[in-house]
Amino acid sequence: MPVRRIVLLMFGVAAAAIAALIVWPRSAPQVPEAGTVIIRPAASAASSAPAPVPEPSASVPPQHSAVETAILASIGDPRAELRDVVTRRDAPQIACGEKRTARDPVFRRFVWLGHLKMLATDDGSPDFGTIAAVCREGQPVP
Amino acid sequence: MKRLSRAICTTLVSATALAVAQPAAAQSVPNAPTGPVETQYYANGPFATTTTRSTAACDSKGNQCDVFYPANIASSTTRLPLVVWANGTASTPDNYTIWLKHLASWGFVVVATRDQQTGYGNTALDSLAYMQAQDINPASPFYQRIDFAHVGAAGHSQGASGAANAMFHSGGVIKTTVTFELPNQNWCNPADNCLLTPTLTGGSGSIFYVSGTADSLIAPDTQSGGTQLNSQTAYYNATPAGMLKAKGLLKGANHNDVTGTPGCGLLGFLKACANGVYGYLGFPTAWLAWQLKGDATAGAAFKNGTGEFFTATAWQGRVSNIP
Repeated sequence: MPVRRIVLLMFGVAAAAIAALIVWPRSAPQVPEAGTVIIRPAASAASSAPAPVPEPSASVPPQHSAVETAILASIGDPRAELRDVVTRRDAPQIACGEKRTARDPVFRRFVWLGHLKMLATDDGSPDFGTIAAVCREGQPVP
Repeated sequence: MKRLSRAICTTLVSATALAVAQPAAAQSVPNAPTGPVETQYYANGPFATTTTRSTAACDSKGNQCDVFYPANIASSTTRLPLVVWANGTASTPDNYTIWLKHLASWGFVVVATRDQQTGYGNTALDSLAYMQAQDINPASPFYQRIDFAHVGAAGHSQGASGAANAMFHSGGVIKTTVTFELPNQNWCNPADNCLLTPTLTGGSGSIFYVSGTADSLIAPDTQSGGTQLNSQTAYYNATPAGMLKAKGLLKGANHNDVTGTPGCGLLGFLKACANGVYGYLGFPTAWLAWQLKGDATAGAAFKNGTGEFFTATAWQGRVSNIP
């Protein structure tokens, strides 16, 4: 019957899609901190595969996740860069990683509280360590 | 069973009616006032209030300003003190209407830019200039109504930095500042979008640092060390001794309680708000009434160690240098 064929066909397509997702080659996963998941590093992961080198004059804007876009907007520096941005699995409004800006070109750790739109930067003090504890899953959400 | 259901329904309806009938101030809210000064200024003042919005931009970033003021300002026989308000990050005056109307009810004119990035204080100063222009405009409701000898500033979070920066860069026009949840310098991006140490230590005026004990991540009372001002105590200690200053933390208050009503935490758990603004109404208003309206009794409440502020049950971490 035509209906049964259509159903079987749909099942077949779905199974093929699932199998493709499972066996599809991926880039090497980065190791996240316990309780966190990587969103996307700001810099492209190094790859041994040959890749086209962009023309020096070519200006390709980097792709940013929504969280990274919000963080960069809060910094307000068009030359700011992020890397190793991770979000808390149990509190996705909180993200942690490293940033640098034109005025402070060294990558420094940061903590982002998305629901408050606030960004803390590591000043090397124990107080930042207290703030950074919020990056760990299970910690109270401010 | 029907009788029981009817009784439950009757009880619920009665309780709801009672809750609706009671004014907010009479309900049991956290951090209720205890002494006479806090109780006086916790309640709304004697003036009915109204609000207007500038028809054009009032600051250099193109934002409009909201102005909260006594509704009878036209018939007032005296000029009114002005408070310049600075919003927290990504906030507008809409988030602070209870607090801003409360100030207006006590006879303050409050100008609040709708700027959402106020840390530098420049837009707060722009809003001050806007009011100065209104004061000389015969078509304005504020024509010759503002007492520019008595101007204060207040702000929340990034806006707390903005309010303090506005005072320190106002050339002495702004006499006092109340900061709510002034963030650690850790949270300043970029660094000068913050109250910086050189600005603070070179300043004059008076300042009241207000935070909440549940805001330990952003505006804590104390810090472990380091050279940055990462706590309310560090800011207080860095404030020149020649300035009148005080500091206190409202028990249980989180970063955004100044924006809320009681119960804001039920649906606002992602807003860092639990108890609402109410506990903040008393002493901060009293500080401004003292500094800008000359209420000496309100000022005495902050007297170092013995003033009413130091025995108020809702507060802790209190210090002042008020003689």
